[in-house]
Amino acid sequence: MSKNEKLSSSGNGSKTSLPKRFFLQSYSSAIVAVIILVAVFTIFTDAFLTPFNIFNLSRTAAVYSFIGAAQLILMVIGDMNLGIGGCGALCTVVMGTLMANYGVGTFPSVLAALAVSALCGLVIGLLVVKLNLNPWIITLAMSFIFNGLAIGSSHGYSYEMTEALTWAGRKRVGMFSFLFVLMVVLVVILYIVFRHTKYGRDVLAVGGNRTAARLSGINVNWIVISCNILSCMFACIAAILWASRTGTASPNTGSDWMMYSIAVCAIGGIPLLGGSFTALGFFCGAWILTMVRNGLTMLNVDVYYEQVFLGLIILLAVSVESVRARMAEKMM
Amino acid sequence: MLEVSGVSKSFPGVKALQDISVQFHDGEIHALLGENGAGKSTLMKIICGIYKADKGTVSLDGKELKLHGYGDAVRHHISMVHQEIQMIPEASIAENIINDKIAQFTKFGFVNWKAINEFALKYMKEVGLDLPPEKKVRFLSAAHKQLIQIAKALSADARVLLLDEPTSSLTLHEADVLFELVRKLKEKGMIIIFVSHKLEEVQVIADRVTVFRDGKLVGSDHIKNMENSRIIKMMIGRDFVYSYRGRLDAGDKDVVLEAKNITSRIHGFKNLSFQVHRGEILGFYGLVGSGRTELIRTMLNIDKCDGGEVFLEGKPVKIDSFKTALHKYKIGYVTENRKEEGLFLEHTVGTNICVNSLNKSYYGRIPFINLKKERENAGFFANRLEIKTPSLSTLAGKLSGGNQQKISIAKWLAADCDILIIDEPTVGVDIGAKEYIHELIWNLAAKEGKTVILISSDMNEMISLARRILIFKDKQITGELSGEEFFAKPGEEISAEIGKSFV
Repeated sequence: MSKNEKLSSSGNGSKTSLPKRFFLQSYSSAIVAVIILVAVFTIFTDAFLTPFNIFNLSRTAAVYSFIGAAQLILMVIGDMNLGIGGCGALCTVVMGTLMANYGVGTFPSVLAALAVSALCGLVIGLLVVKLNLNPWIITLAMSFIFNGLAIGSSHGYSYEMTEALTWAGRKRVGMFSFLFVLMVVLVVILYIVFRHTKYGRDVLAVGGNRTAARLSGINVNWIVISCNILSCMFACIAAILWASRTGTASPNTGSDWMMYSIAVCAIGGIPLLGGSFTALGFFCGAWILTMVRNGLTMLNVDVYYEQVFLGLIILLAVSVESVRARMAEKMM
Repeated sequence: MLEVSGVSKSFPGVKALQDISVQFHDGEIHALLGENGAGKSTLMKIICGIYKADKGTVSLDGKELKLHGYGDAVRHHISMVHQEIQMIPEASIAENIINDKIAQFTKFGFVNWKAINEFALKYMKEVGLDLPPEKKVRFLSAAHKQLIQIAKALSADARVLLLDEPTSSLTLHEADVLFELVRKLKEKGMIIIFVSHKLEEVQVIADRVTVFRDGKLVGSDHIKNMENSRIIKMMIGRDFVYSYRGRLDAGDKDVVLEAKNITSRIHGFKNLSFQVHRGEILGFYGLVGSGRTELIRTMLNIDKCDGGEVFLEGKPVKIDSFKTALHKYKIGYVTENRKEEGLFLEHTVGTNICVNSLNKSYYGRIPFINLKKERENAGFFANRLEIKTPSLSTLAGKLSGGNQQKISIAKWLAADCDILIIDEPTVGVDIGAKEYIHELIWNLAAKEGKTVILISSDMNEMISLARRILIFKDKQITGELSGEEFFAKPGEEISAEIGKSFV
């Protein structure tokens, strides 16, 4: 029976050509954007494709990927975390205080910061689930609380980082930064989790349809709480990477993260309503944001106007993706 | 007089109305009857301009109406009181009454509140609503909201008033108040069209009855000539080929599932009990809101359970969440609203089928999903249930109603459920798929020994599949029909019997 054969083979059968199959994927526009940006910046600037700049780009992209992941994990279930910046600041201060004021070792300080972030996520998650309040408002309120705690306990002063921590920010792996290795590991883990684990599938199901997820025996509350914990822990990792990259732990860390985290996801083609995820798109999203900021500086764009271009590029990315999605739907 | 002549309407895959001609007279309450999907609501929506007829005309007082949307209907003095009452909850009663003619109450862009409230008060009095017009609609009962809708219709000078299942969310007393008002309006010469499921109230209020079945008009007559048994026969269909599927030997087998004294505060019922035997199809017959779905949802703790016990194979079990019911006790629940509660429309067919049996696609003992295995599992059930889809990676939302329903049954089979609760399996499903789904449900019980609880308000479906039927009415179990001999009788006799215990 021909129909049976069709069903047992994979969806996009071998008949569709390779370019078409590429076009049908939701990450295709992001990949094309990366290629175009690299080409443009390479042609119009001298220093873009130099070893130092690649090293520099790779470690910034790594930080953005963790900032993006903090938002991503909640976007996938259709929620949002406005408190990732605040959480990052709080974690930075916790880590800095332990290292600088109490002389605690690098590793225990990092662990302590992670524990604090997990606690932050747990609190947000419990508030969202138990009070059944809108996550936007809860995370907004929490972001003030986190920031206030960070500024209050540090009085706004930065902390010196230990040698061991800044090592990670300086270490090279081939032409890339060691932090970039962490980024690749993150993306691969996300890819595997969302494709090959029950937990990841349950997260996507909750994002797709909460009622149906509950009626499929998925513990929706647990998924919401755990995603909030993961979100804050990703924010914490981003804070640690940022500190290791800059060499200081500033309580002002994270003030612009909320916007950038959403930008990474939006450029990477992650839908705001949740329910789907593409690892490659997400990976490209972090790179595009990093390259645009870096490239604009190199093109001698007035720093004060930089955000205008950033905004335009986000608009462009999102509209190209939306046109592509509509065309792809017709082709299927 | 409102006249509908030769009206036809199709939706993709369904002929919703075929060549319908009816006359609605002045000063008459005209009831439209029929099962779900028979075409009553479609006709109502055509009369009030929400849908456009593919063929045929609607004319009022001899003048043909060509309506563009509901607003246009209101301008032609046709108003509808909707089943799911649509109002602005944060606005006041008066604002809701005048919101489509606010221009009348503004001067230089400023609103004259006093005039609005006085205007509203006048019509509120007419419908007997004694409330301050400034009160927010959010705080009102369903009955009051309905009266406001009628007041709004009157304020638009309505000649034709369409009521779509107006009593479905009212108490008996509230319904009486509504009927009183409707009679008053009728005496004023209005044309009143009334859709209902409840035969008893049709007998009380209607002057004329028109019965629909599968998009066709099967009869229209004065209420005097329409006894309940005749209406039921018309609704089910004289020419209905009732396929008696044979015996289902289950009555003397063990009781698999027993629910005792299930109580729910939110749904307002107390101490409902039932038993199901292995390999049986037990029918829960009743209208929407009669307690059939509510009992199941409460038993499975999807909605909070306030008391009662559940026994599986005689042993007491504690179902603290649906997760427990599914994974520990292998109970599957095909929900009534497959789009809202059953499916992940934006996910693929394959993902939907495997969503609650992912552990079966693991690489042996390692808890990672083997995509190939997952595809095979999904493909197996897609083939077994003959789900017609271009591929397993097609989005579930793209398929037809019948195929979506097959997915929502397949996922429980994939999860090895022994007890299946299936709620309104064939609503919004075309006839071919309906027959297929009936055959499937029957075979699940007859050939595979699954235990099925079938919830439906479709009499044909009940008679054809269930061999024991519990009848639900007003959040109570009001009767039980059982016995193989009984169901071997011709379909018409059974339906008359069901009608008796139901009306």
